[in-house]
Amino acid sequence: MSDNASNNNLNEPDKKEPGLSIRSKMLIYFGSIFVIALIIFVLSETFGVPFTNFRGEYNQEQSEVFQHLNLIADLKKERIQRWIEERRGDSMALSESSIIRANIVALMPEINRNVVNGVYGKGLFDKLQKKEDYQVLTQHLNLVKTSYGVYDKIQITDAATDTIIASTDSEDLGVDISQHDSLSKILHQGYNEVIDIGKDPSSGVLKLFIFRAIDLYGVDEISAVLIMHINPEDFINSMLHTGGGLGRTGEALLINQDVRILTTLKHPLSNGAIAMPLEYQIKAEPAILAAQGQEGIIMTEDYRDKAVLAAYRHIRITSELGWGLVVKRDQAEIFAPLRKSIYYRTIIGTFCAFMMMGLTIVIARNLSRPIRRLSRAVRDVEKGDLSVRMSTTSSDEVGVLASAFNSMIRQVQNWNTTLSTQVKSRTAELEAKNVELERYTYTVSHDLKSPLITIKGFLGMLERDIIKGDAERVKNDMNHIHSAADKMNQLLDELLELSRVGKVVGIKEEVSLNDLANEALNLVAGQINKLGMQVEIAPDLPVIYVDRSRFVEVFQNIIDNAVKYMGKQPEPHIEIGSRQKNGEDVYYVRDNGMGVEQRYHENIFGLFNKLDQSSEGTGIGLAIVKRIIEVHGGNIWIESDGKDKGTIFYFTIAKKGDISQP
Amino acid sequence: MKIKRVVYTFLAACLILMIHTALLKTGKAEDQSIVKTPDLSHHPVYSKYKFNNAENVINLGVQPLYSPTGFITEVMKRDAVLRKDLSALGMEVRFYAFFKGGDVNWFLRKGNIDVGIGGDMPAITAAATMDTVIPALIQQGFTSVVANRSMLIRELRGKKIGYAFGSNAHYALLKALSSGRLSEDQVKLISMDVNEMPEALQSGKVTAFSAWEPTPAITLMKYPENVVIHRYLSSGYIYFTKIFSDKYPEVVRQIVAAEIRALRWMQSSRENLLKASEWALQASERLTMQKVELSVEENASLAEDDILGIASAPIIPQNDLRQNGSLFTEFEFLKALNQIPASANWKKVRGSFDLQIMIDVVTHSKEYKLNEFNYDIE
Repeated sequence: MSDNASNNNLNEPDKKEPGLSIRSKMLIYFGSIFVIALIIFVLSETFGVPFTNFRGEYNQEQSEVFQHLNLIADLKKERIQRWIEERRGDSMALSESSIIRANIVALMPEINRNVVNGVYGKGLFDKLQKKEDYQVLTQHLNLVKTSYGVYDKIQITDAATDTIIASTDSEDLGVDISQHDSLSKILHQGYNEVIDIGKDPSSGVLKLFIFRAIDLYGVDEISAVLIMHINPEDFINSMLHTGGGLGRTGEALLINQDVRILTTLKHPLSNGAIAMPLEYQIKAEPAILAAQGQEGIIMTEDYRDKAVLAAYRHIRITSELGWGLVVKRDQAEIFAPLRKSIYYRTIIGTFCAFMMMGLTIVIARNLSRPIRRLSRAVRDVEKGDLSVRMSTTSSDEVGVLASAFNSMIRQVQNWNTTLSTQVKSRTAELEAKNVELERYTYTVSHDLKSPLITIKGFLGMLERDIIKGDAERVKNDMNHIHSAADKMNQLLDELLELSRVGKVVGIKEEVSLNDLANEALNLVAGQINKLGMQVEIAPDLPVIYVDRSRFVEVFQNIIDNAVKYMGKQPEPHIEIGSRQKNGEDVYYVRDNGMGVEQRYHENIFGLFNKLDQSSEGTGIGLAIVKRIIEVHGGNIWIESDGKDKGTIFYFTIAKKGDISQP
Repeated sequence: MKIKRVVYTFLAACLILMIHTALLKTGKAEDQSIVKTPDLSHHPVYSKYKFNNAENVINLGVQPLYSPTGFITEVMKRDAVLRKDLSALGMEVRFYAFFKGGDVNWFLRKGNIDVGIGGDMPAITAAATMDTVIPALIQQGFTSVVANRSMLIRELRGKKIGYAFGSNAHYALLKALSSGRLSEDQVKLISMDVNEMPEALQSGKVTAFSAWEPTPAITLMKYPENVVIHRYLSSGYIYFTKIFSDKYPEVVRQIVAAEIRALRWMQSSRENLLKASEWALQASERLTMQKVELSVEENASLAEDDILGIASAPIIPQNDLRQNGSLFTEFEFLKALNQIPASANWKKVRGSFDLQIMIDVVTHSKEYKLNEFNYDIE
């Protein structure tokens, strides 16, 4: 890229595509933080905090629901167990009853005799009911049946014949029940008691049977078996009744070890059918687990394929018989209040989120307003308006920024003014230089032309003199040509020297002015001695920080100038010294020569300016002196009272550190 | 830029924490090879036992910490009728207390004891790996999973759970996990003795544990904020080495008779049950050298249902012995755990259950003096 292009780029303001504003960013950042924080809060409050003991309302509520359901299941299990225990207690009390035992013992021979003779049922009842023992026995059994109100039927079976010998239902007398598994267990497998549930073969009604061995004679031998028939539905259904404690969908159901229902179900099956006790086998998980001997709580689907929360229990009745109890309630109903709570939380949370967003917008607008103002001000400055100022009423960071901005703009304004002044000054300086340069060019061309004209003139004369064969004049012509060429050479050397001053950098050093003056005097000693000139150098002249060789040249040129223009002074004299003027060291070289008229004081240092055109020299020496002095940050001028009054060359130079190294 | 860096650092830290937590949560079951029953020769308690291997001495391994089995064996220990009947056969019985069924089996296999008492898992293990005879049920009771709060089983995912490897409680735990659709790999199992479990739960070392009674009851009594989240009905058995049973069939029947007698004695009055409870607590304390944090009444109440539930005779339910019945399922489970060889045969296990012995005893109740009670009550 060219310099011009670079400059153009520097001057061009940065044109950026407008992105998201601070207000938008604040809205997005803070809004997001608010919303996320709100969501985290609501979720934590509802579902708890992971890895802590804070479990949240949902889990807390869920725990309470679990506990409630578990409590109901435990209570129902306990009630059923107690009820069974009571029935077992009844059977034990009845089997141990002395009335029953004594009467059976009394009736047994008569019964056996009739059975052997094939008298069963009504015939046997007709015969036995006339016996007082039988009447007492049946009265006792009927008394138990009616007073407890639990038993459908109570029977006593003879262990020897497996036939019913006494019953609250006269039709049963003499009936052989040897095929009954429970009786077999009592009589042949060592069981003392067997509890079973099944359908009564005669009525088809669901019955709970309790078989209990009776040792009539106290010889550790089973002689009769008490059988108690219970219709469990009346009692168990009331025990399983869930009432209002389990809500509208709550249900408790009982199953046997084959997972078949023992009670009617509250709801129809998923296909609309009504399940029948001991026929319908439940496939639902809690029922299976309960039948297997497990207890717990589970979220699963029930026999209707509906999502439920179910507590399942195993009711062990004997080591061989166990029932499953399932207490369940639809999840939709259980968690409805909780879901409602979550719904309202979500609504409130969303409302709060919008409120937060609104608040964020207001805050973002207020906070970003001064920044937007600042941004506009910067754009105005960019367009060149340096008069803009920010309000600095606030004391916060933005206030500090506004204050700094104002200060910066003021500074820019000052720099602008200063630069304008400097530009004007430099422009004037440059114009002066241009004038000087024009003059220089004119002078150089004029002065260089003079020897050339001389050479050209003498070359013509040389030509004629050669034709004439005048050797003396030829030699004279040649001398003039040599002299003009030497003059031209000297002019060019000195011009080169002048141009070098300030460009060829010499090393500055601290040097005594005395030493410099003495060194210069040595260089012009021949001319001084020839004139018998007295030179006086002030002792203890200061040490100056200059390019030594250049300053020897300064002194040499000034002294040389004094020698040239000493005139006819009988006592030529030069004085070198220094003095203080306005707190500044001013150095001088004074002579008592021809002096300089006032009108020449200004241009005496000009190029090729000679007061006496006949004098030796090129008129460049003082121009070189002036240039060297200026390069050293100093100034030079002359003072003279006029013709034959002598001349004083004054000059100053910058102290060490006052000007930058060229 | 600084804010961005802070936010990214925070998010990265959160991510690392989440990954770390997820890794912790997805704990694997500990290496099961280290929890197999170790060599018990130098066990601090068992090494002091002096087993008498004389022909006329019956060494019986019992579990005082297994309730209510501890009640029954403590009553049997004080049964003067048993001592007399065995004496008539030229025999005497000595009782040795063990912490768990696996330990009983170890000494049974070693030949130090002739008779063992254990839950269904140790009984099946013994039946599958040794020649045994199992004539009687000794208890039916619930094994419980106790958690530090009310929860669903599925919430145990990734949690630490205390258990006794290869025990009834281990099986009950797996049944529980299965009901919550969890497998053993989805929780972190920590093997420990049952007496360590209450404190482990309370201190947060585990979130839940699985144990048989009375450990769950003790825990709930001491720290009522804990909750039983699952229970499984398991059984306990008395089992003999086949060599012993074949050699002394009458002794086997006398011991079974003593068990029935003990049950009937405890069932006959509350006072007897309380006495048995007191003896069981003493036996537990002697074994663990720690006070059991249950009163005699509380201990009796816990055992009451299990003892009364057995009814008149501890007959092994035939349903349990069916193919695909509960004992068969447990047998398969033990095979899967490599607790018993993969080649173990169910027929052999099934054959170890001898139901006739019990029938012989209960149908000759007078001969075996099932209703004749004479106990050393101090």
